[in-house]
Amino acid sequence: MMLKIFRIQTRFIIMSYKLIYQYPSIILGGFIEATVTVLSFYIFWQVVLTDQEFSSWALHEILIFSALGYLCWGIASFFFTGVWMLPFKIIEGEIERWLCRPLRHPLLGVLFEEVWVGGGAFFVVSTILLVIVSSYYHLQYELHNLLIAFLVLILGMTTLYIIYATVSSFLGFTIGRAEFIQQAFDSLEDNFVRIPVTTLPGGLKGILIFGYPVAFISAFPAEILLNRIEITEAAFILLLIIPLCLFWLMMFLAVWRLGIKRYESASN
Amino acid sequence: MSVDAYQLEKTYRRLTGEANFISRFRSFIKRDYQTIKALDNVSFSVKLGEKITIIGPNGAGKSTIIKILTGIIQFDKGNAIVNGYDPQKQRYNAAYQFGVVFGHRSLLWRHIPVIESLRLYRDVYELDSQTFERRLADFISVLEIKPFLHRQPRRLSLGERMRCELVAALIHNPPVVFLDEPTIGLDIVAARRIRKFINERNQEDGTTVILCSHNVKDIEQICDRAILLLKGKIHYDGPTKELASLLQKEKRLDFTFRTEKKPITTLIHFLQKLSVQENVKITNQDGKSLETLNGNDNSIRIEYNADAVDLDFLIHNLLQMVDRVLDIQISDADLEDIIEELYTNGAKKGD
Repeated sequence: MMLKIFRIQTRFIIMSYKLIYQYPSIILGGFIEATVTVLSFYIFWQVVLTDQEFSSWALHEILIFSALGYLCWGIASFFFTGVWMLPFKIIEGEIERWLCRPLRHPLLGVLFEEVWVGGGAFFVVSTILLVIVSSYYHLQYELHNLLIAFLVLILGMTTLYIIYATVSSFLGFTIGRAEFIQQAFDSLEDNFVRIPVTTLPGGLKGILIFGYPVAFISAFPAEILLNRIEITEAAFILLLIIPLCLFWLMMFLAVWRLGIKRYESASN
Repeated sequence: MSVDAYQLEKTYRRLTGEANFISRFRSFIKRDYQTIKALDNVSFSVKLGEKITIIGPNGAGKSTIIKILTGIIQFDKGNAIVNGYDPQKQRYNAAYQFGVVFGHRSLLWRHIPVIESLRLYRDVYELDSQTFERRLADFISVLEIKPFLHRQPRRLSLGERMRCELVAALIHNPPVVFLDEPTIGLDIVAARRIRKFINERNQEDGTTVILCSHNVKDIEQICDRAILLLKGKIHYDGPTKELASLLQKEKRLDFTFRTEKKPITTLIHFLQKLSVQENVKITNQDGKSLETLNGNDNSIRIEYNADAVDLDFLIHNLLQMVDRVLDIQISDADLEDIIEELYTNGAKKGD
């Protein structure tokens, strides 16, 4: 079974490569988008933070924070493009291609058949930004901080996308519309890779940690990586995101199972 | 049995259309739904290697049956078995037993070459490379798809794409194949090629074929057995030819004659009396009224129900009233006409 999953995943990767081969402009477009986004962000904070700090965040820390957020986008484009498309696949009946296939979990096909190749440019641009800022400001990272920050970022990103998948699937299976929720999630994710959630007042901060845990994809990893918080606190953050991620995964699987049961299929 | 459906029932819930502004406004607070029975106690069995068609007007439940048997949607009541597996409870194993083609929905990835989609299906169905290459080579020679394998489906014509879709559905050599309108939108040549291919697969591999189509040629040329579905209920299940003969009570008599001595008015009077009867329709050449008949060459068409009109009496009288018969033809209505009539009557009854 694992071998089968591995072979299918490999095939998806090959298919993505073939897609780039068919449309090389995807890569160029992705780099233009990533570069413009990161540069405009840099210009904004450069203007705002001339010789001052933002709630104890220096410019280079803000840059690291944001680079981690964009790194998250880049990684997500490889693994979660299918999640982003999920409600539309449900509404348009595109999931049917996988429901009639011998896969223990048709979700495997539904979620991973697509890769937003252009999004990979965010991975490259944000990595370059991380390297440049780190070397320019002579930043040195502890290995354990690096490891915990990466784990928190990956689990945070997974949790965010699972929450999105849960809510949007629910809407897709029930009311048959989900574009508004995609825009809302997009907006939240977009804004909170620019502003460190940990600088916000208590209630709002709580929502963005426990409700829609966007803090885990950039603010927390940046704080851990930059050694702004103690190692015990970093470990606590890691321990916090694991049950949160599992909880939403269970919710998503429950919604999916129920949704498939009541799925009425898109008409011909 | 290859496929078994027993007392299948499936209902859908639909929002009722609101008639006016106030009721539409009220529906924001309280939604009214109506339950639509898509399948009502549907039972049928298909033997291994059999070719059956499910026919019926739009909304009759044809696609619902296919989607239930392929595990895409779940039924409310009843049982379904595809080659020994329940597509609802044993979806994984059942999926190996069939291939499916949806005329409206592609199995291929639009933007990457066809061969990549086929390779993905190779991995999904766990085919070894040798088997895959051998079956692909067979399909290439039969369907002549070699030039399309390295092209994107979006750059293929509908006929070319449909040939590739069939390969994608049959690459794992399934015992059962479901075809939901496989020839929709195809020209005559492309549709004929698809039909020929399906028949060959049936003969060579013994593949059971379950076809949903509105195309009469598909039904006539592929399927030995037909199931007529109207408003979610089976109205007929038997040989395709019998369905036609059962329903072909509607006959058509084309009568070409010349009458020089005998008065034409006698014939006109007889025809007018005949046309008053229910189930009888008489049209003159070019659809003109019977009064325009004259002594020269005339053609009339009498469409009648064999149960309502005595053919012996009709022909005997016609022969008596004219001087010379130039041509006489009695034919059954086309299967296409019959299906059209069935759909129309079925829809009216349903209303």
